[in-house]
Amino acid sequence: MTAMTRAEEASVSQNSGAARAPGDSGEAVLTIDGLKTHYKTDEGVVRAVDGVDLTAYRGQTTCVVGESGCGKSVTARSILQLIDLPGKIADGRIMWQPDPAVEAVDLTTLDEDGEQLRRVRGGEIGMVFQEPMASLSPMYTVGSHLVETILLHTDLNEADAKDRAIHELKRVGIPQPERRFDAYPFQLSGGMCQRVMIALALSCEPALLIADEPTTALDVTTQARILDLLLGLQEETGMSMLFITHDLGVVAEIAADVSVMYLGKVVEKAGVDELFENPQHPYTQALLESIPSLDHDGQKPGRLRAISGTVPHPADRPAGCSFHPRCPHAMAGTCDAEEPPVIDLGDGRIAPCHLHDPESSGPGRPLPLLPVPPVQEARATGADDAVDVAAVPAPDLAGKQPMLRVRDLSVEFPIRKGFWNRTVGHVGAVSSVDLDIYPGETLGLVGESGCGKTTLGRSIVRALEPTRGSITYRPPGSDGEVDLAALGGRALRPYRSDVRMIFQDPFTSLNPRKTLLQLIGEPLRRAGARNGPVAGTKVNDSTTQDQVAEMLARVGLRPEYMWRYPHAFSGGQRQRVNIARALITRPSVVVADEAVSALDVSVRAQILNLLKDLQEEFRLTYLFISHDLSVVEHVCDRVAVMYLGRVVERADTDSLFEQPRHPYSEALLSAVPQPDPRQRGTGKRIRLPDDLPDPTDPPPGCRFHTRCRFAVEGLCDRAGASPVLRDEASHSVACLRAEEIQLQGRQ
Amino acid sequence: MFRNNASTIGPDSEPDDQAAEKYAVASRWRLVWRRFRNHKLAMAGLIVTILVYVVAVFGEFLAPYSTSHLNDEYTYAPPQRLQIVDTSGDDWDWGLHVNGYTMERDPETLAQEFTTDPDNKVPVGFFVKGEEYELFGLIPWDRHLIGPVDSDTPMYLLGADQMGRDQFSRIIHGTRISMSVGLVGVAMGFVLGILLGGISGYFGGRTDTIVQRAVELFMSLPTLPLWLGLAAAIPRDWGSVERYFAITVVLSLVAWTGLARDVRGRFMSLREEDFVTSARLDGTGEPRIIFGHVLPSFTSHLIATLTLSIPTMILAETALSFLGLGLQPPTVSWGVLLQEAQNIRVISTAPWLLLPGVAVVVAILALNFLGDGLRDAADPYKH
Amino acid sequence: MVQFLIRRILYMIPTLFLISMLVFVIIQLPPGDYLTTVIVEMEESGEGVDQAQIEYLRGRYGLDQPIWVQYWQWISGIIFELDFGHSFEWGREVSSLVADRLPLTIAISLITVVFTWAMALPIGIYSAVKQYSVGDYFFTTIGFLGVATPNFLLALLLMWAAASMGMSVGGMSPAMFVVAVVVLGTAGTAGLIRVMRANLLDELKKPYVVAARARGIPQRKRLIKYPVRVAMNPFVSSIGWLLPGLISGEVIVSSVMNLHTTGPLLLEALRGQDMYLAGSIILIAAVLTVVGTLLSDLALAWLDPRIRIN
Repeated sequence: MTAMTRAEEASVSQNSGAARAPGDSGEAVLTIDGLKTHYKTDEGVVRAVDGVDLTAYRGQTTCVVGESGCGKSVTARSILQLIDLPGKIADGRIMWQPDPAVEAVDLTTLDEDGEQLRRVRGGEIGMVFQEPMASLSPMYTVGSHLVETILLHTDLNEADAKDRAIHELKRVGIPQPERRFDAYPFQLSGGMCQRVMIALALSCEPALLIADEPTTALDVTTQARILDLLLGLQEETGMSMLFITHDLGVVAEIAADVSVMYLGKVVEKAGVDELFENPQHPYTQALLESIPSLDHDGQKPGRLRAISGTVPHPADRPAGCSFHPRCPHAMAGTCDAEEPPVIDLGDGRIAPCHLHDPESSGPGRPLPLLPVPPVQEARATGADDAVDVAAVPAPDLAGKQPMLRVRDLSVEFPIRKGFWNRTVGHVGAVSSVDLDIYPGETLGLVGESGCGKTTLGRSIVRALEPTRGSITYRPPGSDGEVDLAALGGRALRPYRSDVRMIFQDPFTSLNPRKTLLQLIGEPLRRAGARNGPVAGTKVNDSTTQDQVAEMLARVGLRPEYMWRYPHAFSGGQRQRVNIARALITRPSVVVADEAVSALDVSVRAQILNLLKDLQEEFRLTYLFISHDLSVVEHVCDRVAVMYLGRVVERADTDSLFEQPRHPYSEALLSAVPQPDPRQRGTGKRIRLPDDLPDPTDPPPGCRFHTRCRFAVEGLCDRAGASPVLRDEASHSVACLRAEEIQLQGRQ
Repeated sequence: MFRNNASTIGPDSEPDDQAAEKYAVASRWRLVWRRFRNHKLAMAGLIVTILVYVVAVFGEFLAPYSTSHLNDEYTYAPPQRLQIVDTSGDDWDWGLHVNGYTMERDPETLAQEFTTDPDNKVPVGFFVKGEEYELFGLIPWDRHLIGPVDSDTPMYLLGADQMGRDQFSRIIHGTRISMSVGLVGVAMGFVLGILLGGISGYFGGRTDTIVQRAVELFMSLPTLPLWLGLAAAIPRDWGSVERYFAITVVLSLVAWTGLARDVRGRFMSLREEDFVTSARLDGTGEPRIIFGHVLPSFTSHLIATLTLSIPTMILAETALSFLGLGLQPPTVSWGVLLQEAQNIRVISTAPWLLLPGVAVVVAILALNFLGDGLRDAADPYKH
Repeated sequence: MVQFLIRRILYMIPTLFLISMLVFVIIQLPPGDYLTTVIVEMEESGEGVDQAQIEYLRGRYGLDQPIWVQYWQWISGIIFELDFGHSFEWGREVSSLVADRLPLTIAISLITVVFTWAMALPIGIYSAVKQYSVGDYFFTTIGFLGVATPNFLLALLLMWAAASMGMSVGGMSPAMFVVAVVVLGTAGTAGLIRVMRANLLDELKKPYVVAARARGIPQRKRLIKYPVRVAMNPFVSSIGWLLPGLISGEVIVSSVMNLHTTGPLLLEALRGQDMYLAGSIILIAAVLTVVGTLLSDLALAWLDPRIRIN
């Protein structure tokens, strides 16, 4: 590169540096200009990033948000040339100017292994990744990772570097940093590892921190503490932050500016308040509408405004505006033919859309809101369904008999060790849980990972053998009761079709070797499918085919898809197949285990709507297991909160969210980021210490006392005096101090 | 990340795209084949493997002579080159032929020395009449694919051994034994492996622990001394057929361990798969879970593993026979043929005695390429 | 760590015990015994056979005892007096026969292991880092050939090459030692290159490698210190399968090359039903393998904190 072009670049970067952030007076530290990162594959060139413009302002947080596959991570990695073959930065410039007094450099022109780029990496720009545990080498201690980086970028000697490392560990809130210095990553929790990663990234005082989905793999309580930490550190050091995420709640919590990406392009750029208040691109609009949250008038909307379809694979990007096949406002002949022009909407806002283009749609036309898709029309089919298909009103539980009554249910797993794999102990994944599920309701089950909610769900459908306790089931329209926990093998079969399950992972839960017809038709063949044909029926039977076709239509798939294999479908479509498979036996109870957790925001909304419609149509009772409190708030009538194998609180959803009575529930609620920047900083922040106690050796007394801010020594930690769930009809809590403490609910 | 197939179909797209439609309804084996086809080395391996087995089946027809055909005048006769045109005369004389030998005895060493004589033309033809044989042991016939037109004149395309037997014919005949030892041995090892692995994986717990310890014990033993010990235990007066089966049993006894481990591992991991749990929740009985869901899920992997263990068997048979503890003449296998090349002096006089070794290398390479390709293609759903 | 060591050594005892029984059973499998072989040989050479003398010998060697008694005598001798029994054919103590040849066997095996590692490590790293390069294809091809060639064939070829260059190929010479090591090491090296290449390719894709890159760690250090360090672990544990293969190969290669090791001795003993000799050699080989595996497990625990700590 000649001095001439260097100078030119510098002048360009000066210009872009002068461009102000909307509503703020920052200057650019990093300016990405027309970045294109392409992957050459056997099937052609995949344009993962295709012309991205992005600016990170000094001392501020810039968020890049988008669904999976939109190219946000590839953009972040391109900055430090962390792209592996067959990927390559094909075009564009990345101007880096940590010091306003020094000319900006174009990072794309630096030699991958050159001294200059190495200094930038880790020295001037720090980076934090999604999987904290895997981002640290298991072979070295936390301390040696830190010392290595510090020695590399500073002039300190070994001893000073160690002091600095311990100081860094302390700064990111790691307790006992001198001891943790010698710990290996696998001895720490995920949250602790992420703190170590942050310490590593910040150890040489970089001007910019790139955080690539740093909290996605963490629990919500840990996420809240990591976000607090990052914001605190930013205030302390004045660094800039480029934050990549898919979670609009996180964006609302921390961003100053936001860039929304879709299929390798930035589709909207705005300040955070403007973006949430007045989104200008149909995609941003749709994305915001598909997050479950309270309506503007404080009401829970019945249905979400879902975006149709799924994000296409970057290899077959649609022509014209890449969002047009999913856009409700798409104009034939324009949107599918021409790329929308990049027009400045004032204040530095950008939202490339033909609707803003005076040439194609007239000036200043406001974007219409997305229409809520109509409820699918319930088609009467069998004689069974013809009776009351009317929508179920919010269930009134008083005087009702529960459909499932779980009593004192415990599930323990043996710990095996040694040459002969002897059982040396047990982990109580679920211990002495009581739970009632009433007909027609949706009961939510929430808690951090490892709290036993999945184990509980799986033992209710009897995919797991309960160690103790009973699961009493009362089939609808009958007075008889049966204890499912006591049944086994053949005796259980008739109830298998009554209590069904929807799995989390749409990719592993469908046998890839079977067609949809076989997959959905198989449960029908099993003996005891009460409303289906008798056992021994062939899958290819035409009645089976009819039933499968009808079920496919109900979950929103074409009946002719029944001849296809699962590999031809996307995640969201497969989840529809899973739902069809669960519902084909006409069950009365469905356990949905994190059924929407693996899906993108826009697809998640579609599936949630579908579940809601089907509940009304088939009069289903749901046990909805999820770690995502906003989804639970949206779909559930009642919620049970689990902690370390126990249910600690059980209440109506509104009551729980507004007035939680267990300190753990309070902390969970407080940790959920609200997709509304106006609420930032309101309310008290309650943060839990990161570490979950060892489940093989739960704390005595109240299991939560080790992390509880109200715990009283001598009361809560007394062995043999653990709190029990006191039944007070609509709101029960297992806390020894429930009467005395004042807790805060959702604002 | 970006390699997954582009044909995922959105709910709103028309199934007009025929390729995508075909992909959508493609069964597992079709997808495996699609993947396998793109693997050039594996395709080459497949073709060579098929050829080798064709040779094994049609050996009597393909070979000019039978295994016992000998002519002791021609001890260690060197290979003759197959020629199409004779330019020794004034004219170009077309016609498939080899040149005959002139023999001289070295007056000092008394060793027979051969030189090919360009004037002595032995015409060679296709589908010539020769020794009678029974194709597949059933159909009597006397035609050979290639051979001297006059069946009394000798032809040694790959030279002769100490007794003046045609090396080319014997390599072809050896193919059958060598290649089938692999197949039969693997089949037996497979039955043992799948039985124990399946039992271990299915029952789990104590049974599993015991089987696993046994497998580890077997795996820590040096295999060849075991093979040798077992092979030495075969009574010497057994006939060639009994000996053949005894050897394959010995080979499979030691080879089952790897298979058992593989089967068990897959069994264990598949049992925990969501789709198996899901089938269980349908009320599907255990036998159907195993035969309808678990087993079909790893047949393709199993075929790949089996293919990859055939070469080990072939190598072991070759080694055992070479040491004289395996198959014995008059049975002809590549290992038995290599017995003739025991010492350096013989090899220096007649290096073509090492040619069965080339056959071994080619067959094993082909099987390895094939197996690797199958293994890579076995899971067409993984991206 | 000490506890780990003690536990591993305790596990070895039942394993070795089972191995010794298995070996003895295999040795006993052939119908008849050493004396039957002698009788057959004597009859073939036309000598008369004195039944009384045979019976006397049978009693003297304990061959008329039930099999478990024979086993107990053999194994108790080994454990308590390091007495491996008597070789019928050689008329000598098995221990002295084996002691005579064992050093060379162990030397060849150890040097082959070192050779294998020394070759496979750099080539494996190269092949993974320069995946799909000409060099990678070259080594992959060599690797495939190495696996596909029976080692006795390779030995014959190399000896033939040496002979045609005018070298002496009979018995032991430095050149022949090198040939033996190369021949024995080829298959293992080829296997290890594939293992190393595959492991390193996996490790290179791990997030910690990208993270190290993002911290500005220089390329060479980043490669050696991070992914190679992890990919090394299977390398160390490879001795578990390397040693049995090596001992097997040693038997056959030594016979072809006529080396003064335990291999040819074992072959002869097996042919002649010289059961104590054959049994002892197989047992020693198995013990060496088990000990080697133990050592590699210890080395692995020392190298890998995940194993050391959990």
